[in-house]
Amino acid sequence: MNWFPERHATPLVGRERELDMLRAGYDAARAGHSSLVLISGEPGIGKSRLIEAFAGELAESGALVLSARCDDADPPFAPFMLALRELAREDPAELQRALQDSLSPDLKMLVTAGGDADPAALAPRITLSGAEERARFFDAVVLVLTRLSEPQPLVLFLDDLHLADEPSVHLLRHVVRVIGHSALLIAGIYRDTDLDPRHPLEAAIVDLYRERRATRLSMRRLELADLTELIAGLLDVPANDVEIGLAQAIQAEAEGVPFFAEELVLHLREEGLLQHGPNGWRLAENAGPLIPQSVRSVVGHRLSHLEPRAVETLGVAAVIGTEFSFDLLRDVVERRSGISRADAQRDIEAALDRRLILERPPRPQVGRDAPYAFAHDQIRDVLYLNLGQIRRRLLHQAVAESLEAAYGEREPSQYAALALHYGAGEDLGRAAHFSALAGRRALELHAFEDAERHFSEAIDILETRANQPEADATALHDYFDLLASREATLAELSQSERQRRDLRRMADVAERNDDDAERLVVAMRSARLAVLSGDRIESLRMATEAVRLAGIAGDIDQRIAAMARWAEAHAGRLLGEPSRLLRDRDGLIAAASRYRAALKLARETNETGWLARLSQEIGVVDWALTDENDLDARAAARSWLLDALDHWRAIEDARGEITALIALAYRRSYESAVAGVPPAERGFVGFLEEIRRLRTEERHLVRESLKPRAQALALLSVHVHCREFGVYQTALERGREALAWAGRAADPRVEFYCLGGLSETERELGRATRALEYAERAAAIVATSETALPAQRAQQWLGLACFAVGDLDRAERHLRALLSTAEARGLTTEIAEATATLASFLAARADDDTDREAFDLARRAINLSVGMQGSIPWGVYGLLVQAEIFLRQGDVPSAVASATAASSWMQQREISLRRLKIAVPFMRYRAYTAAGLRHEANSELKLAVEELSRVASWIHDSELRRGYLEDVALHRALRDAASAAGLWSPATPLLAKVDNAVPLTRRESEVLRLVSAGKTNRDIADTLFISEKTVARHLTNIFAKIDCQSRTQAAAYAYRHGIV
Amino acid sequence: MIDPRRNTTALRVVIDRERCIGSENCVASAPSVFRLDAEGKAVLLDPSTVDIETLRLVAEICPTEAIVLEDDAGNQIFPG
Repeated sequence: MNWFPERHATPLVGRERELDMLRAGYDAARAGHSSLVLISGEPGIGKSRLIEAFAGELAESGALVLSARCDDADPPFAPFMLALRELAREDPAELQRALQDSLSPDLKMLVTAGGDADPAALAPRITLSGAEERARFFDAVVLVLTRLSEPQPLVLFLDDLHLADEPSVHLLRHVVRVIGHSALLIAGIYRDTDLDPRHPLEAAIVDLYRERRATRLSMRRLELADLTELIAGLLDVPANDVEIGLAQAIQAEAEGVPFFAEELVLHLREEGLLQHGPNGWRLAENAGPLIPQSVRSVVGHRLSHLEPRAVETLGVAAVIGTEFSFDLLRDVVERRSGISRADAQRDIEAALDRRLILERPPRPQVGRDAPYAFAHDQIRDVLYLNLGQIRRRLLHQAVAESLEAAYGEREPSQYAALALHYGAGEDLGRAAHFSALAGRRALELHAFEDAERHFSEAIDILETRANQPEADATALHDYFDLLASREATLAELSQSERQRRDLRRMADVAERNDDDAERLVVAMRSARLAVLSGDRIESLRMATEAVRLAGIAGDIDQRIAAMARWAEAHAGRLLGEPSRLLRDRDGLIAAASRYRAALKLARETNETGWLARLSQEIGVVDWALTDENDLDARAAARSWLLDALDHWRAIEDARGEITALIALAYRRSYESAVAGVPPAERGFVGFLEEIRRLRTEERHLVRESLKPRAQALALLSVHVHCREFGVYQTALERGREALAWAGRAADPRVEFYCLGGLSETERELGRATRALEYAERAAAIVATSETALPAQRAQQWLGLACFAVGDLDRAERHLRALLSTAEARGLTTEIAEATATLASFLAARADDDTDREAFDLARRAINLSVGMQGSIPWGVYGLLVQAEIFLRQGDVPSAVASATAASSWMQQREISLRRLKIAVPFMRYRAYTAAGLRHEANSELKLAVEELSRVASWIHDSELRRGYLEDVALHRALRDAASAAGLWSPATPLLAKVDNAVPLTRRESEVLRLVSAGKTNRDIADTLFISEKTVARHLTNIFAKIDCQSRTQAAAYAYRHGIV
Repeated sequence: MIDPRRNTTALRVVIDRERCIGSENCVASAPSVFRLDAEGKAVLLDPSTVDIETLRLVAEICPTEAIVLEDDAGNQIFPG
């Protein structure tokens, strides 16, 4: 498909370099590497002509070609939306396919022009911020473009980018940055001579070029040879039939600008100033002085051949814009000049004949078409300048009136154009009105920069009026509203200085109006800004003022809001804004009492949103005020958070739910850490899963294309946490689910880490064969994937898995490779880790040669680790290796010293790795035993056994538990030693718990709990993020394990065993 | 040409303490970069001790996405 006009018989000359670049971009796109080609040049250099020629080449290629042109009076995101709307007209089915499942109501509405989009049906369960709405919209555009480029390459031409609005430039930049592997070529064309250095396009071009995401090309002027060819093409003769003198004469004036040259040739031919001489076409004898010396004069000459009425008609067209619809043109000329429809039609045809204008394929504007465009912007410029100031003003006014008569306020895409024409027509009242409308529309579309621009235009107009002493009340209130709208827009753009200025002006206007409602707005917003910028005195001053005003002029909702703001000013943070509580105790106490006052008001209205926010804030502040040992006070604070959670759930606000869950999760884990209770035991994992589930859902709303990947990462997160805390059962289940989602997401990187994680977990559980399988799959991904993955990780997983299965030679190969990779990469952390890993491996081989090397490597690992901060475990591994070797060599005092050093390292560095918490005391036990210190040895052994049995008690599945206790060499040795010392018996409390455990896995218990709550398989699948099939499989397993036949029996079992 | 493999030269790591719940995923995955403080929340040590891949993974597997990564130009890359 190709909607370019069949316009030019004009040949394209001297542009092979440019065409090659576009072709290279297209070839890359076809190969799945999207690209952006930027073409710039001065006016008349032939940018659009180049694009047309290239589009002509593509006509046969099967590519989908979309194009749009930017204009100053465009609505937000116009270039992209116009391109997609063209598709809506030409191939609606294709567009529908691309828009399928699109979660952006804005996009659907814009593209289908309000067609069949149903914003209510698409409304997210989460209230998104302005920036997020924009991200969602941008992502939706990327998704549509990606889908459109699936069946065939997509080529998007964006002309006149120097006129694009700022949000469109941001969108372009976003698309180019994220779209990566798609068959998409974007060709952007702009005038570098007209590009203001402050224009956002300038910065975007610099960035994209620096990031190597764009190729750019500045078009050069034509050489004489190319110009000769151009002349020949225009005269439709071979190039050798043009006299060199003619080419030189034209070149002398046109200076290599093809548009000027073309106009000159057309002019000379029309005037009969070209002749055919013996050496081809040349200038007529007397023609020399008659050659016009500027573009303006040559265009003027060409226009002079038209009837005066036609020039007048074209003048009106020039006022309308570079593109114009016949209907609008006819309407204006009829009103203004009394030119009839038939005459206007004839004028247009005459201009078409002389190639002054072109017939464009209809642009899909609502209601009307804009099928004509000036053949070149410069023709329009000449017509426009020739009109004279007064005539121009009258015509703009007429265009505005015709537009308003046609659309009224029904068509938001026309607001900006109406504001522009009324402004140029000096009907400033109407101009301000439509600028304000355009601003509000832009704000709705999250095109903040556009909104700010429109509001500023309207404010500039109204300001003059507002400053007059006789300004009427309505004008002043309108002025206040506009300032308030701009202030809100500036808040989205984080321009706090300008916000402050607007707030001061709003305050002045509110005083002049003597309006308490307006004063309240000013006080509330000023307080907010002051809280955000940490100005405590100002925030308190403004917040108390807001409370006072709300009491006089506010409704109940405003009174709650003002009271809450007062509390916020005391607490130094805004409701729901992530920031630390930095305030002193007095501030927090004051905040707590204001929040309670606000809550009391909120209870009168029963507005759940307020109840949720305020309860949560009270919980957070109260918690900060309680003593960590006052468990009752902490429980009370937590119950506020639980209230908040309930309220959020009641109004289905997932974002609020997440904040409440995070607040609760942290406060549980903190208490757990203090009391020494494993977090997993207190439902911590449940919190994690719920938070990640909601976060994924939230992310999915913002970035619909990322859902499977987000799921995979959420599950991987839980996997890692569970492994670290010994909850192996859940770790394995989540790891496998994560792997499945990573496959669905077709994301090799996430898949790689899932496989590695599973390999580590299986290895820790003593299931070496499976660990090796996963490690091999991870290594295979490194070998085949296009994405750069950390190969050294795969070496490590492979090495350790081979070690675990007993393939020592292969393990050694991998681990040595790991060390040399780490050394080549030069990161101390990696070298320390690889050194410690290899040392542990070599020490385990237990022969003299390897012992020496192991000892040296261990020392190196220790030395490297000493210099690093953090819970670095590799020094501990090194010390364990040394202790082991000392023991083997019979140097017992040194072994005791190394083991003791390992133990104090653990404490100093606060290392909480379970493995080491078992291995270090066990090594001390062995060293003390060798030294004959039985008492000391036994107390270390107890420590090791306690830790081991604690972890074992978190493994629900008996097979896994057996693997953990018996298949891992360290655990087996520890168990044997403990049995011999009488420390290992079923009577050990933690181990007894292991033996009595319900035979269900954690996931099965969850399923059973939901079954008991009367949920259907579908409900359960939704809640747990798994498929219905998986639920059914879990149920089969549960029924088999607990020996029952029905859901009712299963529920009864659940009640008996306290699973509900 | 757009190359998604382009590696950023430096990453800035920020911990959102409001979000941190002390799950220790980061400490377990990159002990030279993170540790928990007395409040049970993660604090930053030296991010340059690990490679960018590890940092990204650690940020991605934080249960509450409390680890924020920014590139050298100050653009947030994760969560993004």
